[in-house]
Amino acid sequence: MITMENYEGWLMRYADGALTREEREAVEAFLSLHPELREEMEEVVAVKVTPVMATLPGKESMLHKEESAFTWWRVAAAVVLLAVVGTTLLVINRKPIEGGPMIAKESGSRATERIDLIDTIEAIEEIEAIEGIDSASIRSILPVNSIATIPSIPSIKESPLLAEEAASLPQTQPEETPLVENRIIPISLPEPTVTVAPVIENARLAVNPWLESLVANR
Amino acid sequence: MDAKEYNHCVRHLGDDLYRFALRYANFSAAAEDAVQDVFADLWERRDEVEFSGAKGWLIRALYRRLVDLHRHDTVVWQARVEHDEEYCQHERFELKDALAKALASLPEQLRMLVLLRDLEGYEYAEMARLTGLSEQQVGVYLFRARKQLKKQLEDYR
Repeated sequence: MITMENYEGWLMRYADGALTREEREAVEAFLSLHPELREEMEEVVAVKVTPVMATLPGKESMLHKEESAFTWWRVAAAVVLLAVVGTTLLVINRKPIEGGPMIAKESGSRATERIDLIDTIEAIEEIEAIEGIDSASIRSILPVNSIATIPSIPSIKESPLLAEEAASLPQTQPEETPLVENRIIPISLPEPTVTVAPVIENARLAVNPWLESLVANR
Repeated sequence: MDAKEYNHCVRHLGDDLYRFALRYANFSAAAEDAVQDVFADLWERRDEVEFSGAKGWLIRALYRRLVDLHRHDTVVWQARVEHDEEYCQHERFELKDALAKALASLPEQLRMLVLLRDLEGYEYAEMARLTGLSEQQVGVYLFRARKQLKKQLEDYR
């Protein structure tokens, strides 16, 4: 309810647009009853205070040093980003390439075992060539696991005796065999003349008959 | 709020706050001290104040600061009305000088409400919250303040 006791606040808020539609209608109805107050209101509203023209002295002295753009969290974020990118690149580079040399790097893989077996066979052949000892004699001093895996190589399978002997030996899963054992074979060979005697006869006949004459001629 | 945001407040709000304080105090040294005090306070409390609400926080702090200064040094504040050189060269300096004196003669709360409304554009709800008055009371005080200013300016003429 607008009265002559409280109209000041209503008129001021009316002039400043701070009333709801219903309140404005109530003020307009009140002003229609007291037109002299409308003139007073318009004169009062016209009084406005304007700002002085002045600037704050010593503003620069109130400023504080701003933190560097390289705050600790930004450095940490950069490190994490580099780590992620680096790891991603490593993973991409280690991705196996079909038919490529990286396959053999996988320790314990079939490919590695095959390479080790080939090394073994090549070593045997080398010993055969240099020392004149047949492969069966050499096999007798090889680690059991190595002999057991030799028949999987096609060139060795051509020898029925080797295949038969290999089959009779306890089979060991290639996955369980440390590949390192195969690689030390050429290094740890003892004197072949001491250990090969019992096997030489069979091997000579079955594997390489031409070696028989070679030994006999010695 | 970090240092960069604080400095932004100093650069962009410092002048407005100073003019507000100068209008209220009519005494440049007191206005400068008051503004520097509230900025120093803002720096101390920068971890508590959000950048988005910094202007409102500064106005409220300045309001409290000016009211305290006024209550403790009323005689000095009412006696001194000064303007900077640029202001004194204004063609309507005398009228503005009369307005400054009329404003200085207003009771502290009426003066503050006029300045909040005219210089800072505060809404009634904001002024009510800041001063602890109702919106209707704010309207009454503003009406009376303007009416008194008008009367004093008419006396000047």
